[in-house]
Amino acid sequence: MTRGSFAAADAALAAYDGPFGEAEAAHLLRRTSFGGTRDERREIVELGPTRAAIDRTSPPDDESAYARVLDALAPLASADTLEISQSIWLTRMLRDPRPFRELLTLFWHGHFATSVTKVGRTRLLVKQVDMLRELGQGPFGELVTAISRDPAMIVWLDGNANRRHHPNENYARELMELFTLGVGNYTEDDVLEAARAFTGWHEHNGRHRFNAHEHDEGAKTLLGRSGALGGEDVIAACLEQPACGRFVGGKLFRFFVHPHPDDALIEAVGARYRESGYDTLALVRTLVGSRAFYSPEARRSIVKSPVLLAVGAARSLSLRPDTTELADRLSGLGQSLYAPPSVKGWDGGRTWLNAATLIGRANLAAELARRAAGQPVEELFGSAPADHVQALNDALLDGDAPRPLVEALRRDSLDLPTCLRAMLSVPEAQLS
Amino acid sequence: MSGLTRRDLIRSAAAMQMLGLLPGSALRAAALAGVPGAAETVLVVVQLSGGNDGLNTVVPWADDAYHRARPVLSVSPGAVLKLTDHVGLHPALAALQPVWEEGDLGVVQGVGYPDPNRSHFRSMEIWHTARTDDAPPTRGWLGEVAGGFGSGGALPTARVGARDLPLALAGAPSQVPAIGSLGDFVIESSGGLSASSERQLLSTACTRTEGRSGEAAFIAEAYAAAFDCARRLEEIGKSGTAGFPNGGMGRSLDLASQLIGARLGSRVLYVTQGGYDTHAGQNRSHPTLLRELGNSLAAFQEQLVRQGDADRVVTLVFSEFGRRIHENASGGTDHGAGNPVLLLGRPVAGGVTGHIPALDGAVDRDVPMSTDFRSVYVTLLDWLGAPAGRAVPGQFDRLPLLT
Repeated sequence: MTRGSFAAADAALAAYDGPFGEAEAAHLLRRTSFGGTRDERREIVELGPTRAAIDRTSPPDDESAYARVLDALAPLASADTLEISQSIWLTRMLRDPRPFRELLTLFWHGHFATSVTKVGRTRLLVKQVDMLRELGQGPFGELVTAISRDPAMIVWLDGNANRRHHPNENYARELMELFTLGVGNYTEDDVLEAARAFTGWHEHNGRHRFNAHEHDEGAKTLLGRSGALGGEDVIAACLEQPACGRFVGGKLFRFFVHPHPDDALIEAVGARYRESGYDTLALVRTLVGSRAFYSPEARRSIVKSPVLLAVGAARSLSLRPDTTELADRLSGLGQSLYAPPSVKGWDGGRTWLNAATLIGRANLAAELARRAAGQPVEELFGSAPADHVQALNDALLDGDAPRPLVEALRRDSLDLPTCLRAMLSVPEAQLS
Repeated sequence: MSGLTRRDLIRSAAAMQMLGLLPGSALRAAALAGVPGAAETVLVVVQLSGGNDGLNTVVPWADDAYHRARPVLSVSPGAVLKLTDHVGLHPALAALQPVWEEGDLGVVQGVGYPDPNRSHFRSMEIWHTARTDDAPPTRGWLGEVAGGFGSGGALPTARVGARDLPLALAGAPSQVPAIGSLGDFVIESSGGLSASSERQLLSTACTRTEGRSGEAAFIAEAYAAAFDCARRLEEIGKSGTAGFPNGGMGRSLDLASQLIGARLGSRVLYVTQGGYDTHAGQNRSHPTLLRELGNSLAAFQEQLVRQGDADRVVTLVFSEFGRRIHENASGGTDHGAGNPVLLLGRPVAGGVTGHIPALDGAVDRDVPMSTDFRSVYVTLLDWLGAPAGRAVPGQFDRLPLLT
């Protein structure tokens, strides 16, 4: 990396001060809020890019209506079934007036990927995700400490089998490989020693329990530290590594900005993240307010996950889909909430797409279109073909729908559901 | 039916089909005209989830210790469908007898891995990743090679009959499709247009690459392949299949036969049957599961012959572990170790291979492992033309399981 590439990286992370119209607002809404309505786009244009980035990542001024939604959901939460829990989380994503917190929670769910398939108890997964929601915006170190004590995580990565005389390295390995440092930034000895430091971090009756009797109090050496290290020391040692900033900061960049940052950019993002004390909210605000964020290579560069696709469409069009049915469809498309495919989470990008999931995405679009009847979208987008073709094009595709499609929809005066389905199926609609 | 075996009948049916004398075949031939991949090998994996009781599947009927260990559950020698002087099939697998007689059923005894793990999850993970070390289980043995089946087909690898992706298929460069039923490929309507008009509109909207670049162009191409796939499956669905039993296993293998018949470039199809965790009252459930399995596999073989694909398809049947030699006090069996795997298909060298010892005092509680499952895997991967060394770390002997 050259001095020039570092300068370019700093410039890429500088606050964006270019043109800021509805297309830019729509881009910001897709990346911070799943998507947004025409009113939300116009509101944001008024704010300008810097204030808009802060606004969309802050709690709303008035949460009373959303609080009533959450109150109504509360009795269901005790059900402890996967279907209901998925449905509740989708409802949060659909109804939260500032769904950034749900989007970031989804990011962390993919990062600390834990699945009910092994954990068995859905309520433990729900509690884990509640914790990710509560701590996800703050210092990453607190999040890692909490996840290390999280009952679902302990079950998932065999914490109870990690005992003084029989260390089990499953959690220690994933902590370094997948949660903080990435491959190549630690040694096998580091893993073994870290496993010893986490001995006795057990789960009992759905709660974390430190079992002092099974904790190895002996001296350990890892990542340049020595002493009678405990799990907290391992976490601190991992976060001290520049690799941690690069690994986690880089992943945030690829989720929020675009999938192909160069090494200098990752270095710059990592340094900022680490030097801020791993302040996740501050980093995300920098990212979604940056020049890199509004660059041509960032626009429509990310293949939407099934959840992003569905929630984004519903929010953009003010649709109220049946969340139980939606959860089922999303599982079919490869994204079952609370059940990521492995500890590595969802691979994302093009791996979402195959013959079956593309047909499934086009069919998800049909389902949302069928549900549009009688919903506010009809009033918002008008029933005259000339009106709704343009309105849907603006709402879903920033006015960039393929010409042949627009012509076909206009020529045949197709109804709103048909137009909606087609616009929501096109390749561009799969991209954020 | 003197002298005329069921297989002869099937063979003549296949010949009739080749001559265009069976209903449906003309339709299928039209659907397949000019389609490549009709000669490529196909592996169908059938996973029995829960730990199938191998001793009551391939029964060591001549071993007194087996009968002593299982006063309630043992199958009497008279009821066993004898394969050799030592072992035979559970009577619920009677449908497989013709397959055996044709030399198309291979049984490998005592398959497992060193230091058996009795956790369903962990043991399945070992079978799925083909590794016993504690590397992060992020890639499966079949996912690892899924990107290499480059004949251009839309469905080189697929999960069939359900939508959950087993770890065995994880790690592919593009997520492996999970196909619950043919219905998953039916393009739904949004209500305003006829089905064909709406499909035409979608094709206009989604599949053109002109004017698109980057990810959008990639998706447009993938859409074109997906719609083509849907069209072919619709055609093949019209010609129908017959003889599959009701139930999940029958439906899954029926769908697998249709996918193979549709010439979508399929090389690996993955099917599962659950319910094998028989800790209690095993005689109430296990024979039923085996009957569904045997009837479905036999119907699958017959259908492959009928549609002219029998020479290129091998089916592997495995479970994450076997069960203990001794039955428990609840009329069931607990988690064990070594277990038989079954191989079916014309390319299979029929017979019983592998080895289990006499189940007397020399053997403690489990059937020991004598053949590493990864030897079975590498043998099958070689046959598929897939890079076995990539999918299965380490060195494992090839076995003479195929002709």
